[in-house]
Amino acid sequence: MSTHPRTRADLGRDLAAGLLLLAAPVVVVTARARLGDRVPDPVATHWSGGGTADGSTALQPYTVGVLVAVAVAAAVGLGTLVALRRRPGRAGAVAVAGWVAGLLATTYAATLLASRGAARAEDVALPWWLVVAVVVLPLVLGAVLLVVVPPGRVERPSAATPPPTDLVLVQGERATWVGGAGSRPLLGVAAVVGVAAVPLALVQLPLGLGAGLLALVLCAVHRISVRVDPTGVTVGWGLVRWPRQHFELAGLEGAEVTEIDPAAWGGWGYRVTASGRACVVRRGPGLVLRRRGQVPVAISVDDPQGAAALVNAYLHRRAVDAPM
Amino acid sequence: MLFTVDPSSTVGLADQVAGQVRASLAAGRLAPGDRLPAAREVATGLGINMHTVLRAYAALRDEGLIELRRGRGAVVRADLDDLTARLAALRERVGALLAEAAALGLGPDHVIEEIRSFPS
Repeated sequence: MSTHPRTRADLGRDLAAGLLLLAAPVVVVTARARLGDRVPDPVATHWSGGGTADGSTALQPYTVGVLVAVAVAAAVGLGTLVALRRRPGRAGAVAVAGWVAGLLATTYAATLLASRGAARAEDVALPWWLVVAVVVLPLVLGAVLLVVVPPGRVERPSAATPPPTDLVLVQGERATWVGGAGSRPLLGVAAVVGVAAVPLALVQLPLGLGAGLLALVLCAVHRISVRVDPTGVTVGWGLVRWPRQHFELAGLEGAEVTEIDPAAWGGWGYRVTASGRACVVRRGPGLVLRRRGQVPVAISVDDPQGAAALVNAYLHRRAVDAPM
Repeated sequence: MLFTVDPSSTVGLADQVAGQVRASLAAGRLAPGDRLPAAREVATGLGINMHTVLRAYAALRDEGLIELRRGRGAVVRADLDDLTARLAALRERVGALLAEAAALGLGPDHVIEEIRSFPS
């Protein structure tokens, strides 16, 4: 499996993003150390519309709770940086984690700043500029992370094996390729969820109905069938082959065989990512359709060589029949 | 799997479809226990009647190559042995030979004569 080599610059940007994420817990610890003994205990933690305090929490549990939440958010961001190197959406995930960590940390710091020097929690008022800071600073942190974090290096379909060209269609000959792919583990999960839906429905009806619906969806995406014919490529979901998706032959440029890694295409099911669409039911061989002026489509297919060969044969016959 | 038919051939469409399955079995592209594509999908893809494909599948069942079960589709028989598959492939090639002879205006008797006089 070929991966895009990560450059030294990527590593530096990942490090910068990691330091930005770590800034959030540092802010909490610093605020506690510098301001902790100058604020009332319990400290004002809830504000009425006018900015006056109407709720308070003991300082120690408040600090510990915020620190744990900030640490979890920062850890999620750091974990994303380390673990998901090839996931297209990683910058967005890190940015959201950073925004959450930043929002918690700035709220804590603003709370302590507003309470500084006050004798009782009830005397504290939240100035408007602190409210602005609490809203704006985390958004800035998230935006900076969005820019700094390098995008996931997606395995490009262009790295796929060259298309098989051994199939030639003679004039008047009709050909179709019918196949597909399925995932038994996914069907197993659907069965478990479906069985669990019954007791859930007895306890809490909406939850049970939701689980039943999830089981149906999982059952539908556990198998896809693929048909190649003179009109193009048709993908049908589930055992009843519905819903269907059709990719017109006229819109195709070629077909290739590839190994589909769900992580590189955004997961299982029907995925829409910046680098392509994908119909994925499992890790393994698949068919990649290159489309005219559009992102490519990857489809999980067992033994996709025949499908790719037939698409290319039809495209070849089209080009011969109607030279441009 | 791949199916091709030539509507201008003297061989019937159902025989052509059945022939493709026999050839796949002989070449090992289809193994015992494998499921054949749904008849409706094959028919739609080839632009032919679904009952033509079902007739081909019924012929394969009668030859002992596949099993047809309601609701489960067509499955290559799990107890299918190599000899049966290879005999089916041989029959397939005899059919192709006869079709080619017919295209030259020669009947089966002439083909038999050719086979008898073939230097072995």
